Amino acid sequence: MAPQKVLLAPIDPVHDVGLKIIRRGLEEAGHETVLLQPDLQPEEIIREIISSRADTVLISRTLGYGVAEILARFVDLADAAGVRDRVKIGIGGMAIRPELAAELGFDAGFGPGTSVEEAVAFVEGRDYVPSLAKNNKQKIDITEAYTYTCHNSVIAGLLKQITGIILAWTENRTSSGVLRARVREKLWDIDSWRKYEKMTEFLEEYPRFCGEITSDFYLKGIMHPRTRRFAREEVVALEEYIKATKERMEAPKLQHSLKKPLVFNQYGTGCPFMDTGHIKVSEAWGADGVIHFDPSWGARTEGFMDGFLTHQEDGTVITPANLNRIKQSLESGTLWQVRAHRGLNTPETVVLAGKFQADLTKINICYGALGAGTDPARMTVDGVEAIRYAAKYGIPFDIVTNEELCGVPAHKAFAGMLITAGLALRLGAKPILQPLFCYSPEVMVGGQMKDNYVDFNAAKVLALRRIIDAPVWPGAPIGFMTHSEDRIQSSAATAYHACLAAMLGVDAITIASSDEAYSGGPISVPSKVDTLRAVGEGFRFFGSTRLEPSQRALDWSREIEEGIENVLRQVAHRGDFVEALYEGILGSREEGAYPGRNGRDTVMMV
Amino acid sequence: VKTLTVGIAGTAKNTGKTTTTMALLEYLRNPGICIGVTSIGYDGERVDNVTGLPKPRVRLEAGSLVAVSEGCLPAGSARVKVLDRTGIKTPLGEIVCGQVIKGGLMVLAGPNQSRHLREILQWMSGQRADLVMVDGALNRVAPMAETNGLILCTGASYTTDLDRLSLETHSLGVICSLPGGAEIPGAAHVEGKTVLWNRDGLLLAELPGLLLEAGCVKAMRCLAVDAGGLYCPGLVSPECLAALAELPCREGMTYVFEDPMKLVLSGGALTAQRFVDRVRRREGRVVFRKSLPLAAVTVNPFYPCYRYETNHYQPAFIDRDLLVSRIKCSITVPVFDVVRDGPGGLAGRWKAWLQDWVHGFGEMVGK
Repeated sequence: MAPQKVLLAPIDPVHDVGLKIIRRGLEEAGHETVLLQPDLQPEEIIREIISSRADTVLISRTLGYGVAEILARFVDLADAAGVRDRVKIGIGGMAIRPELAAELGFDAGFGPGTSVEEAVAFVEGRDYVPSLAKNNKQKIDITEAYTYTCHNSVIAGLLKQITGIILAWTENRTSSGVLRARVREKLWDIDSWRKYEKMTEFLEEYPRFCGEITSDFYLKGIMHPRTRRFAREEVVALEEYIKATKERMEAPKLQHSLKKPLVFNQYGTGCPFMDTGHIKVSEAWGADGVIHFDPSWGARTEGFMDGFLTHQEDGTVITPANLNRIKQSLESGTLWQVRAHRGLNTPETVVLAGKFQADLTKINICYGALGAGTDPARMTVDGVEAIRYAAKYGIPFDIVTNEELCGVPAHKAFAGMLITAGLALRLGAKPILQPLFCYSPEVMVGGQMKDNYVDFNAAKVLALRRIIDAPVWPGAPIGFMTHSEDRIQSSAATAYHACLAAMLGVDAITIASSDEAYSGGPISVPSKVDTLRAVGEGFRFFGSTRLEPSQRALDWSREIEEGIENVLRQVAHRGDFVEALYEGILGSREEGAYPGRNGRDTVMMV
Repeated sequence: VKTLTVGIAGTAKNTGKTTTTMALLEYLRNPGICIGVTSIGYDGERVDNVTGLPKPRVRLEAGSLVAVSEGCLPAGSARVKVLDRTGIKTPLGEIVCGQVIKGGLMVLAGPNQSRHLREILQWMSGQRADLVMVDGALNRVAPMAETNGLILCTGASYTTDLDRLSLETHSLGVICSLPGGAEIPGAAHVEGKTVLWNRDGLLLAELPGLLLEAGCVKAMRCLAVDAGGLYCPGLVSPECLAALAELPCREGMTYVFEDPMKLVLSGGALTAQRFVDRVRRREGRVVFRKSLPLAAVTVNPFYPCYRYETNHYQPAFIDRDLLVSRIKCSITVPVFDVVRDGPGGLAGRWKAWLQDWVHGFGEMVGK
């Protein structure tokens, strides 16, 4: 379009910074600008509009007592002077919103967060279309750039030895979890399921390997207590909600100058409808991915029910229908992780994740066995099978080390994580290391975080980076045990941990909503927004600033690395990974790690 | 059927514009009358955009015609069938014209420029609206020149100084009571310009349409003695009004302005009235091309009291009776407190006014 003449007028005693920024954008777009001095009277600006023959006028003003009347008078004068017939007038300022601009009589209003491009679009008389980057978030594979080369030859050798032991041990063992996963894999076809076709063979086979709750569901039609199907009108309402939300979804980015870390936020209210709301909020406030958080009873229950179900416990029950609905609600650029790491349904969860094209899953044999209540033998058999499916479906998985929260020292938890990572690499899967960024019992007792939360968390990442070239995704969530019932404190703590993660160059983070630790029930949307906003603000603050590790962090990282080597030596020396778990080599009872009992004695010899 | 359009203008925020509009709408609710409603601002919201204090809601009945920004449609419970799109852009989307098909609450943000309001009023007229009410915004009055008459809403929100309030209300009453329909001598008419003509109607001088700089007025001094009239189509600044008043014109000079709003906008009603008084003292007269009669004044004792310490507003009131009596003393048109008195008195005043406007309309109102 032809260059426009734009008059920039601060009706304000001092503030004209916004106009100066916009001026630069307008001039870069080829328009002529005239910036008036601050604090002119409305009549003086009208005279300037007339004498300069401006096409557009942009006014800036900080709103305060009686200012609305001043601005309204300016608009009236412009109207009565006849300049509005040919001049567009917009207003910008911290308190300006479209509603206020309409009330004041302006043609457009530019509030906080207005981009220069938005102002240029107004001047050029075209509709503002946010940049494609804002609307078309693309999925990123955080494993892509890594070679998985193990830089520590001692650890490499030990992992080879230990994973060999594990694979040999599992070779002639199986479980109902493994058998169920195979039935799901072979006899359950997602396209047939979506078309409501009969799946007789699957329905005959599957209940045979289920526990009482699930077999009752299939054979007797008995629903799990406190669980029900959605009513038709609820489903219709959900579909309308998703449609309406998708239409106005912008999916902004939280990252500023760095592309990483990706930010993940979990859902799992028990109700897929509420989950969808949380997902849409996470997407709308910039989360890159969401994590399906399943109920704890699901981890202790053999088998999955089906149907679009809601229930009254923490976490959302995994059923094909629930996963299907949630998958359909996601924006195309949102990464979706379906956790499989801690219970009796681990391999089958990965199969379902694969069939529903989840982007990520979560598996860790050691955490599942020591911190999440599953029998070590069962967890090992099921874990290896789950990793095989992750490899088959090409789903990267993170290896969470939440046993640290029980009291297991970082080096032991990391040794367990690296064993699972080693298995993944041997079986062709893509593991992601997930060290906890937390105020764990180990550091509470040992005092490593007495002065700051930076050095020891940095030491963990430095140690892992030195050992292996693999993606790192601190979690889960970051800042665990530093949160309180104070939402501002919790959001700030999360943001600081997120910024530390970014400055250490990690690939992703999982963050908690600010009320997650203290909600006493489902987390709330404002709390989710709190944390996402705080993290985004932190990324903006630090930009691409890198952290120079302190000597103490470097020393601790070496201690962690040596600790990992020692633990792996002990496991290798023990010659039996499962027994090593039982005996506490990877986390002892004294440290707070208790071998799980769910699924005990369910491993079968083949 | 002629369409009567009435502007409900305020001297400030919170002077009772929407309350007055709603009171009249409620009173005039009659299936026999086709009513159109629009706003030059943003009305019907739950809380004020600036003060955060509660605001009166806007409720429209089925059958009403509305002109509203498209972005407002989902915000209320009323359902509107869009009949026409105008292409007029606002910060809340394009203005659409339509009919309320299910009564309920609405947020109203309509045309905020005179020329756009003119288009909307033409549309309403084309839809055979009997009466169109234009809700005002803040202290904005310029677009109200497009209406047939005004109701002025004033009160403590503008100023708690009752002396000043009375004086300014009086002045505006004086200005709005000046006659309209003035003609410019054909030989002196120059499109978009201020013109000075002699007693024979011949052009003496031509000036910019907007009289903002006193210098150009003073330059006419040597011609003033022959002048019989002056017409200014645009705004006139207080400096120019003072300069006009000081021109050595002979008695009986006629000053023509486009409408009352153009005369009062720059310097205020008090300044304009002083000018009128000076002209009258010299046997001259001030008239308009288009009049804008003031039908009534409504008063509101409420004002948002600003707390500097906390940057918050809190509701406050001045003496209601004192306010009404002082304003009544200052002006010849009826004064109402619609919250206390209800809309009956104001609407009663309307009946007579409406009857004058459209033959038989008053009977419809009285049904």
